[in-house]
Amino acid sequence: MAPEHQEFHQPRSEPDVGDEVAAGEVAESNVLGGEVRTFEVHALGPTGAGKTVFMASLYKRLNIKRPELPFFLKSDYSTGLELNHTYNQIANPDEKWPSPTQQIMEWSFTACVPTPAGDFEPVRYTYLDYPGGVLTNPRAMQDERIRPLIGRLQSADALLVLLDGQRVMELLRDERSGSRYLELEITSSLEILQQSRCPVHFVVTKWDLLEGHHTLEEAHDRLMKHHDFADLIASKTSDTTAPIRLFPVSAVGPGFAELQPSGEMTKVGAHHPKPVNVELPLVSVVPDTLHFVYLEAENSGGAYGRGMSKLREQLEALDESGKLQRWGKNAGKAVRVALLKKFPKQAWVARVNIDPHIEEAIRHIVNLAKHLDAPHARKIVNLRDALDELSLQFTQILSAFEEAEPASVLAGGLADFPLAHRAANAAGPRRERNGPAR
Amino acid sequence: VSTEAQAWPFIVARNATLDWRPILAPPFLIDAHADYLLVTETSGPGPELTKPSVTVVKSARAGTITIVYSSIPATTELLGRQPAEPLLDHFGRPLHVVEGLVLRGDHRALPSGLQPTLDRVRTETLRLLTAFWNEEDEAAPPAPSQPIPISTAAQRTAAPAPPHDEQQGPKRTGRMALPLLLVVVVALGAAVWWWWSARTA
Repeated sequence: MAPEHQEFHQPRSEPDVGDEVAAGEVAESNVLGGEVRTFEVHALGPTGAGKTVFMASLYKRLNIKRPELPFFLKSDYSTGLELNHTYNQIANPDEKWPSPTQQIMEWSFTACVPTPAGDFEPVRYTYLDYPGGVLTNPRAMQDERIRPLIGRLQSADALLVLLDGQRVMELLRDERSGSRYLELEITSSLEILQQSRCPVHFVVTKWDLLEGHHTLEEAHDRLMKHHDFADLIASKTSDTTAPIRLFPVSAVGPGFAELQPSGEMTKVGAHHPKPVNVELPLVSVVPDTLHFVYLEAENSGGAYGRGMSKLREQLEALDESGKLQRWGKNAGKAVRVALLKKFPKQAWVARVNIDPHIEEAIRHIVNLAKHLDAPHARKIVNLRDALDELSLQFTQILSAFEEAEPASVLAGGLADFPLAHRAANAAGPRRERNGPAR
Repeated sequence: VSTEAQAWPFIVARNATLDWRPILAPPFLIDAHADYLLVTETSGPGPELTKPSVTVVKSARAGTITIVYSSIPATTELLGRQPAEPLLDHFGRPLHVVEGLVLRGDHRALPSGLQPTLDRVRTETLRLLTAFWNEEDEAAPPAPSQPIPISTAAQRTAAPAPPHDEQQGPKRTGRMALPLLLVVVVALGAAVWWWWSARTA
């Protein structure tokens, strides 16, 4: 995964005092243990799907510490400035919506875990924004600048497929335009999806249009009734262990905009925008990727695959009998080190092509077992601890959402990874969050 | 010393449903399937009137090119409809049109006097945008543009169709040159004859 790739436009950044301080903090964090893990998360969707609006809303929701979330997002000054500008344009009822995206942009954020010892930034996300027409315009597809973009999309760690809520609503009402959307407009997105093996999150945007009229379960059932969509899910499920999810998301929340008969969305300005569930696709990236990487390694077979399966079985058994605590705090680490020694990374990387996150995946399941064995408040003193904590908290948030909205799981899910499922539901510190959109 | 160069007009636009694309482009970019770079390299602040910008792009397929471009808000006026109202896409987002010129090679030290040539692209916008506004074919190629000669060093356009009065200027000068020359030759001959007559007398 993560091949060498072309970098796209990034917001221009003038170095200033604030940037120097931020860079210094990150460097210090790295010295304190572990390294920053980068996850490439990209959105697929034709023009108007809401790629830019989703990212601006996500950033706005997460750039402030929220009591119900274990992290907040940080970016460089100019990225923050541009995304805030876009969001302000969205939120201002007197302004038009932002213009359709014309340029390929690469955004980068870090997930920052606040602790008494300082802020740690264990995870970096990169996100590509681009004109959606490149996925539907055959001439654009031939362009030498677009090919590397498609390559980046295909090799993402996780893909978000943005489904226009308006079209999903039309599908639910059995209107022809809804089926046409699935059959024609998002075909290219689905083709890229077909060629990728990573976790996939279908994001139904503009959920405020459906809220109160349709449930996520109805949207799930209607999508699965469509033969192309159902076949794609079935094919992905048989090809990979990657989870496939369905999230209802609204970048502005209910009552902010209204659908006009012409199809345009008009701001009514009755409420201040209140994004709903925008963080869920991002939150699920880390646990879904780590579980997927682990299961892929198991399924790769051979000595390494068997070793991975055995480790997971051992950890699950240890949890059940409570032996892990007696083994001592370093038991998991010892098992991991022994495993990596026995099966050098390079030997199996060539076979399964999921190298960047495998060590993290192993550590993650050990961490889950440790949490099950002794759920208690954890001390975060370095980047490594911060990543463990973040992975666990993300798993808990995801588990709570799965429980509230079983229809959000199209394939895989935490049920396929019992250790994660149980760890998420174990006693211990857990942050409350808003309920799902209904 | 001025250097003559060719500038090909281009237009980038989108309509209510089709996303950004060139609707007019130099034939050499169309033939090389490199015309889409006109979209990604001319991004601006949105539906605002912008001053001309210059960017030099290295394309593996089309070589080095220089793009001079500016944006104008897309309004119904460009479709020949009054009063002018903003054109929106299917989702209610305001649109703009990018107009510009493409030159082969690196001309980053372009003259500032290109505005009249850039203004001529507007004629093409008015000609092409109405048809494009109703276009539904994703695969429709852009129309090929005709080159306009410009002078890149003298900082002025060598307009191929200058106003009528300017066209007449150089021709009048050419017609007057021959009689003047004849007068000078006759006068010179008369002076020589007068000097020779005076000397022999």
